[in-house]
Amino acid sequence: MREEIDFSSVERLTPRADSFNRVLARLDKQESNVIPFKVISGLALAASVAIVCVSVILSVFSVDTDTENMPMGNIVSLDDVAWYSSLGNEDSCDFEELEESPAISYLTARK
Amino acid sequence: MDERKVFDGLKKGDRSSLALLWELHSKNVLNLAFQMLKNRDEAEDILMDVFVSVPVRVQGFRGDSAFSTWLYRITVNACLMKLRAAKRHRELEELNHDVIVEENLSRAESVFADGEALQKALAELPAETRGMLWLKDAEEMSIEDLVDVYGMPSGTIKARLSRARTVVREFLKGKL
Repeated sequence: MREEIDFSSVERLTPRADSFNRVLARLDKQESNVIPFKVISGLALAASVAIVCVSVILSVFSVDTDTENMPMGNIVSLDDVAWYSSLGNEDSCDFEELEESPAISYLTARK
Repeated sequence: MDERKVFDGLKKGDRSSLALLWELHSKNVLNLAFQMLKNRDEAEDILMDVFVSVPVRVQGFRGDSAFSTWLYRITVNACLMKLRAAKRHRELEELNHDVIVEENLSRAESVFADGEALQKALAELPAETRGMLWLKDAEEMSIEDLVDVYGMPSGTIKARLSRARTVVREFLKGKL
């Protein structure tokens, strides 16, 4: 007895006439999608480089020569300067206006 | 036909090499896909998908197996992915089976002697096994090449083929 199944009676299909043209069309479409991607990614890279260059140039030209060599310890915020300058210039030291924290209130109440 | 020239041409993106490959293997790919999917339109879709992927896939193909084997492997995987994605192969086959039984009951017995009866008997098998049996018995592929296509041990393939032939014969015998 023949072991194999006899497929000779089974009809063999043939690809449709336009199938290969459709394959080529899909390949063309894929390629046309790849080119814009390359262009877009190139543009994005160029824009990134431009931004970095501009920021470097701006940082170079915007350096203040007066403060360039100032040590960090000398840089004090305006609020701090105002507070120091107001010391001893007022009658009240505003101790009454200090808000008591809940912890202080608790200690006071215990006494 | 020098497969090496086709291979080199495909690696360079040569369309005439792709056309040559189509001429040589498209029919076999289509028939394998049809045997697995049992749907002409889906088989055509798989055929086109396979050949659209060839220019990319060939870059990773080392050429250590025949083009036909390589294409069959891609086709089998594409069909299985399609079947799994649709999650309907089991339902489809059960549905087809019901239709087949109904059709068979209303037809003369002689219908089972032709290819249509064999196709219906093949519908009894899982898609993967059906494709395997087709490649072995219709395309006369060797067990070694089937091992390459399916990535299974030769013993497993032989056992599956034997069971598949038994199922087909029993189906045909029972309906005759």
